[in-house]
Formats: sequence, structure tokens, C-alpha cells
Amino acid sequence: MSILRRITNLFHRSELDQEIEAELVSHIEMCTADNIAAGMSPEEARRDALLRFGNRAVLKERVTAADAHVFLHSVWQDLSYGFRMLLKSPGFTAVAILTLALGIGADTAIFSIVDAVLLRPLPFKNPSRLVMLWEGIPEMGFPKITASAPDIMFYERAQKSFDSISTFQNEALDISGGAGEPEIIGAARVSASMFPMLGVSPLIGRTYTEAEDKARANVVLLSYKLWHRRYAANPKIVGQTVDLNRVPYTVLGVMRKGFLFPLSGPDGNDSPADLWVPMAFTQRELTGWGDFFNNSVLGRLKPDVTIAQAQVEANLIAGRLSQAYPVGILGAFPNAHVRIMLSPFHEEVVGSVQTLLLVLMAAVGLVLLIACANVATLLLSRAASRSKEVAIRTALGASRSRLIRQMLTESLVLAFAGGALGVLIAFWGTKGLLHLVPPNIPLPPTVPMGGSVLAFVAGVCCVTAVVFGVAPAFQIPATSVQGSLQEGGRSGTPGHAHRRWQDIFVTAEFALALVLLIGAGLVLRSFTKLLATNPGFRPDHVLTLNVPLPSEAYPKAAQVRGFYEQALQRISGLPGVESDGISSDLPFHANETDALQVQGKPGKTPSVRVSMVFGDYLSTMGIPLVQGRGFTAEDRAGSQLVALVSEGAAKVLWPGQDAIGKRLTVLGQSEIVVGIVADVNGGALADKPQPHVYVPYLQLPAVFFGGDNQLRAMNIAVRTAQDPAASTSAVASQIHSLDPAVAITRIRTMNQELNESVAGPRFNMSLLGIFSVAALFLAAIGIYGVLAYSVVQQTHEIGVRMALGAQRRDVMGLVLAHGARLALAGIVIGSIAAFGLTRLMASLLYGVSAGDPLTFAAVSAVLFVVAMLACYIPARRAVRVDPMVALKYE
Amino acid sequence: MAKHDLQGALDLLILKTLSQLGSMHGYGIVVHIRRVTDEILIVEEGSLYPALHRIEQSGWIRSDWKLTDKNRKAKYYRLTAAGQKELRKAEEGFEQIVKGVRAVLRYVQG
Repeated sequence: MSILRRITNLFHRSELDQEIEAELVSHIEMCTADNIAAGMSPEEARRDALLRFGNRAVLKERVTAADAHVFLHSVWQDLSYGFRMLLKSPGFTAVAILTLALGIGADTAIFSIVDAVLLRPLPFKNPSRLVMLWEGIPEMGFPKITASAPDIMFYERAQKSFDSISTFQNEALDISGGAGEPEIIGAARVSASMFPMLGVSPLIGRTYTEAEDKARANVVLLSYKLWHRRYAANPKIVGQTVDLNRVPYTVLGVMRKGFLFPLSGPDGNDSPADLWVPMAFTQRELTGWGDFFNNSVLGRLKPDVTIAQAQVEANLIAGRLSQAYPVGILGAFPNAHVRIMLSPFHEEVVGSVQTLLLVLMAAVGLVLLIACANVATLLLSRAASRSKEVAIRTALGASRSRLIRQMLTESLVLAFAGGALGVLIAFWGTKGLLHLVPPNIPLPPTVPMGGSVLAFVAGVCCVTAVVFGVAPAFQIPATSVQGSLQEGGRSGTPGHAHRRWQDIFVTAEFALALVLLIGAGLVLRSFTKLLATNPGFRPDHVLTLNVPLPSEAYPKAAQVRGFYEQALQRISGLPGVESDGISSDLPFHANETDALQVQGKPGKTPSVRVSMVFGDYLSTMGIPLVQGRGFTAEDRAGSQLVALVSEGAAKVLWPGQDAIGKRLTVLGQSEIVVGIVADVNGGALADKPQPHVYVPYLQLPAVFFGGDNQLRAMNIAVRTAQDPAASTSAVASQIHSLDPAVAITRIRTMNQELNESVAGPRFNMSLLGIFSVAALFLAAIGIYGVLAYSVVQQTHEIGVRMALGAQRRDVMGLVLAHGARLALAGIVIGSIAAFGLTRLMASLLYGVSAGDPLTFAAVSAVLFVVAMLACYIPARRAVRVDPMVALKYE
Repeated sequence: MAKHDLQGALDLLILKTLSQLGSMHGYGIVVHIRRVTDEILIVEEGSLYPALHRIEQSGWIRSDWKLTDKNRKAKYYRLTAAGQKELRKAEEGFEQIVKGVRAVLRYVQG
């Protein structure tokens, strides 16, 4: 009954108010009447009656407070009051909400990606037991390489640590039949044992068996994506055939949606494939001792074996393996010993981006801290400037709990608004970041926005908002009301505790912002240095295409050579083509490394990058000839075997001597060096170019053209007068005029390649840049807020000073000096912290040291200037203080 | 909900007054207590109305607007059945307090 009444009262608050008022009025009237009867004058009588009540408004408030319904009602009242107060200072509100939203949103977005990439287990059965196996021959310049088939077989037979061991290798296959044009598909050769080992099953059909793998059966599994794209998700695809490299393969099954294998990340074979065929080692691979180091190996450890135990066993097996090599190889490389190394699969998959993600997480953490410090500072400023309002409300009878409740409500309104906006930023930010991610960073196809992450970050921000929003309410009623009124009114010593805390927060903000800015500055300097790096060739106006010729259609070396020679001829006849050439690899995409022997220096076998080229490849790519001569049309089969070396190779192989005329052995042939060319990057632009040897394509013996060797997957480079991309279709039609069924892949301009090679560093730079600009912005707001507040508080003091003859300059100096003190303290502390922290990101830097003094100095200067600009606005306000107004304000 | 404190004492005074007078307005309650106690106990108006309101919310008294004998509108309070029960409990509780306080006051060492 009474609950019902309380609830109905909620809706009749004003009625209730009136009733209380009426009751009090009737009481006063009766009291007055009695007083008159007792002989008082009517005025006296009424005054006495009123006095007994003291403040009627207070009484009324206390009467209503007795009612339970008041609680709910006052929540609504607080809410609307909170909204009104927040709307009254839109600047404060906007900044506080933005700060919260930025902190919550940016952090959630990044954490979601970090969570998806770094922290989530791999999508396989018991993934922590999956281990990758690598080989290493450090004496020959191969510290860690994918494995060779005979070594894998030897190890598999000898080991007792693994339940199963599987092999996989990326491969590009030319697919035809079914719907669509012939095209090149990213495929993978995978052992039959891989699927049960990973614990994956197909969506329809079945995976292939060990027997089919051994028998080299022509069977294939399709990815869900390819099945949809090329075969319209036809469920009857199982049992049909598709042509791979023009050979029919039977489709056994379709894998489930989202199944990715190989995973990106580990060295070597790391492109998720669209179809899978049996590993089916060829006889050549199985007997190719010391050759074909291109198989990735994945194993599942037995449940009771640790990776350390397995490594001990692997070391023993590797010792025996080195002895098992054929005598010929042992004799040629007496000092080389094969190592076998094991590493957790998860570490391999995420290893390449670990530093970057950790740096990003650190950046996110810093922004979170800055955002919290900023919210705290803002709320403290606001609370202090409202101390008078609070004191008055206390004097008028608002209870302390009521005040706390109201401030809490206000903080919560702020926190929720900031949080809601933050969720939006997080949602769009996660999507946006995924677009920014360069292709070499492994990411799952979908990154869900991390709910727990959002809760955590939002929680931290909101707790900050609530704590600092409510703290003043505790503080003010605790001191005497009179004291608060005096302190708020007389501006001599306003809230010393507040100001000390604000100064600390602003200093901390500046220190944190400096750390972030220095991190971003170092990455920016690295990036500009990287862009200024000479790649060793002229990337403008060059188009490249990869044209693989399947051995099934072009079984003979002469056919392959003939095709490329004719293609070059036809393309060079096109209008607008200045020159063209062919190479087995391209800048940023080295793919053949060989152990080189220098005549007269036995035993020393450095590994070098080898390119097989013909046509005008060097001049087309714009690789300058430093000394000697380049290749000519005369350098073909039957003539003197020749080679070109890069400057780096010449220095390493013949230090202090002239390389021209020297003899070396690569690819099993002895060549004479006829020229020296500039160094060209074979990998990332940031890497030092490898020693590099060029040999004429036409001088290579037919034995190199078997199987799927890259000699039958050559790159055609075309230098054009106009935009190279515009020539694509003309060039492609010339190639198709030779063979309409041939697939053309990797159509790129070299400028694209150059851009892609710096995509990773650019991504790092943009992210850190975004964060540091946000941090700079927040820190500027923080220092502005504090100074603006202190100017308001010191209006009286400034007025007195000016009345006593202080110049505007002095007043401005006073304010700016306060700001400068805070900024400098933050910069000093931040520099020390940055000095310690930036060395952790050394692997992301290029050409600058982690303690680069120029970056430190420039960033500190920028931060200081921004601080002074932020201080200038309140300082201007201070000098505009009119002494008369300031003094009267009391 | 007999409270052994001073607020309980004010509730007790109000409930007892209403049980003696049957139905009375706030001002009448103040005057009654002052007269009966020979001005020893003077209930502050600032305390009375919150207390009345609270007691009414607890369901121990009920109120109606009526005309006074001087033809003035006033809010009259009267006890409910629950109020009668509460009054008995409060009286017992108060006796306990008085006994307790008296025992302490009369305590002589030795």
C-alpha cells in the first residue's frame, strides 16, 4: 500500500509540494493568531511564527526528503540539473566527452586488433602443441631456412617427440575449366596428415589420404571462397575435375568457410591458399640432398614432450643428418653442418608483428593515461570553479549525500556520453584500421570489436570521471560551509589541494605526451630516411608482369626460351615502349639464393642472390652500370659464360681488388665477371641489399627448366614513355597473341612495388602519428584548462597587482611562467622516460638511433611551443582583467 | 520499529498525543505537548513536519483536510490501527530506555 503510494507520489511531486506548503501556511497562520491573542502586534506575531520555522524552503526540503519516493525523483532532478549544468558550459562538456570518447574509442579499436592477432589462439585443434621445424646452415649464410625433403624424411624417421609431422609449400597454379578465364591461383602442396593434425574437416566431400599423397594422385581441395567465386558454390563440384597447369585434377572436397592455411607470418610459405593439393614429393625432391630448401614443416608434439626436450633430440638427429649427406656434398662443404630448430607455431605466426603491436599497445596505454589525466584535470577545474555554488546549496539545506549524488549523476552523464561516442569511434576505428593494415601483417578476415576490452577501457575512463567528479563534493561539505564560501569568494588561496593535483596531472600529461611524440618522431624520421634511400633502380615508368609457363604445355627449355624471346620482341614493337627485359626476380622480390664459390678461395662459400636476366632488363629497370659492360645479345648459349656482380658483392668477394675479369661459380657453372652494377634491394627497403649476381638467362642449361622452376615463371619488365599502367592491356594482348591460354599474374608498376615495400613503415608511422597528435591535443587542452582556471581564480590577485602598478607584460609573464614550469617539468620527466622506453622499439627504426638527439630536441621544442600557445589564451584573458571590476567582484 | 533514540521519542510523543486527542493538526500537536509538559518539551516545527510526514509514510497515521473551530483549513492527523500497535511498542521501548537510563543514573559505586 505505502509503496504504491510512494510511487504515485512520484508523479504528483508538485501536488505534494503544494500540500506541504499549504500545511505550513496553515500552521503559521494558527501560530500568528495565537500570538496576537497573546498580545503581540500582528507583524511581531507573524515574524515570530516564521522564525520558528527558520527557512521554510529548508523545512520543505527536509519534509520531502523524508519521503522515500524523493530518492527516485531526485535522481531525475539530478539528471536534468546535470544536463543543464553541462549544457551551460558547452566547451567543458565537449572537451570532456571528446577526451573520453577518444580514449575509449582509439584504445578499444587497437586492443581489438591486438587481441585478434596476438592473443587469440590459432583456429586449430590444441594449437599450443603445434611446432614448426626449421633448418639452418649458418656457415653458408643460412641461419634459418625452410627444410629440404631428404632432411625432413631423415628427421621424421629418427624422431620420437612428435605424433605427426607434415609438410607444406606455397605454389602458384594456373587454373582453367569451370567458369571464368584461366587464372593463377595461390595454392599449397600439403601433406595428407596435415588436415587431421590441425583437426579440420571439409565442409563437403573429404580430404585426401596418405595413400593418395604417396601415389601422387591428381586430387584437389577447394577453399570456400574459390568454390563460391569460381564454381557458384555448386554442391556437385565433388567428383568433377578442374585443370591445374592444364592437367585434370579431381575435386575431393571443399574446406569450411574461414579455414586459412598456410597462415601468414612465418618465413617462407605463408600465403593462405585457395586450393590444396597433395604434397606428393617428386623423386628429384626426395633425392635432392642439400637442395630445394623450400618446405615448411609443422608437427604436433606428443602430449608428454616439451619443446625443449624435442629440441635436444633434434640436435642429436641433426648431428647424424650432417654425416648422412652424400659424400660429394660433404667434400664440397666440409665446414657446413645442418642444424634443426623448433619453434612454437603461434610465435612464428605473430612474431613478425609482435614489436609493432606491443609499441601500439604502449601508445594506446599512454593515450589512455593522458585521457584520464585530462578528464581528472578538467573535472577538478570545474569543481573548484563551482565551489561557491556548492557552498550556497549547502547553506540552503541541500544534504551532503544529495550533493554527492548530484555530482555523481553529472559525472555519469559525462561518462556515458563519452562512452557512447567512444563505442562509435571504436566500431569505425576497428574497421578503418583494418583497411590501413598492410598486407604483410597477418590478420584474421574479421576482427570482432573486443567487448571485454571495451568494458575495461570504458571502466577505467568512467571510474576516473566519477572519482574526480565526486571528490570535490566530499571535500567541500567536509570543510565548514563558511570556509568554502570565503575561499570561493576571496581568491587569495583557492583550493590549494586542487591546484597541486592539477599541476601534477598536467605535468604527467606532458611527460606521457612527450614519450609518445618522441616515439612517433623517431618512426617519422625513420620513414623519411627510408624514402630517401636509393633503391638502386629507377622505379618510375616501369610496368612488370609475371608470366608462368606450365611445364605440361611447355615441356622443353627451348619452348620456354622461345616464348619469352618472342614476347619481348612483340612488346618492344608497341608504341610508347622504350625498352623491355626479362628477369627471374624483381626488386623487393628476390627468390633465388645460391652458395657462391670464388675461384682461388676454396671453402669460402658466401650466399648471394642470383638473378637470371635477358633483353634490356638492367636499363629497363634503370639499374646503373658502375664499371665494365652489361649483357648483350651475344651472351647466349655457346659463348663465354659471363656474370655481373653488384657493388656490394664486389666488395665482399674481392675486397680492395678489381672484380672485373675474376671467376666465380654459381648455379653449378663457372662464369667470368664482366661488369659491376648498383646494389638493388631484394627484400624490404630497410634491409641492407644482399650481394647480388646476374647471369644471362640464355646461358643456363636445359636442366634448370624442369618442373615449376622460376625459369619458366619469368617477370617481364617494360619501360614506357607515358603512364606504365596505361600500357597494361596492350602488353597483355601481345603476350596472349602468342598463347591465349597463358595466365598473366602480378601486374604491377614499380612505383606500386616501392609503395608497398614501405607500406609497413608507413602504417607504423600513421598509427603512431595519429596517437601522438591525439596526445598533443589532449595535453594542450589539459594545460589550457588548468591555466584558464587559475586565471579565473586569480582575478582578484591580478586586479590588485594591476591596481598597484603591475604592467600587462608582468601579468602575462606570471601566467606564462606557470605554464612554462609545468611544460618544462613534463618535458624533462618525459625525456628521461622516453630515453629508456624508445630502445624497446629499435627494431621498428631505420637509420636513426633510439636516442636520436635531434628527434628529442625537435619534439621537446614542438611540445613546448604548443604548451605556450595553449597558455597564451588564458594569459591574454588575464591581462584584460579590469582592476576595478576585479576588486569590486568581491 | 521502535527506535531507542531521540527521534523515536519524538515519534512517541506524536503518536501518544494523537491517541489522546483523537485527531489533531500539526500546530495543535505542538501546543498540546508544550501545555501538557509545562513547556519543558517544546517540539520544533522544523522537526515536527518531517516526522509527521515520515510517520504517515509508514502508515501509522492518516491525514485529512478539515476546518478548525476557527474556520481555518488545516491538515488533521489521526492514528491508524497499525499506529495503535506501533504506539504500544514505542511505549514499551521507551519504558526500557527510561529504566536503563535510571539504572545508570542511580548507580552508586560500592
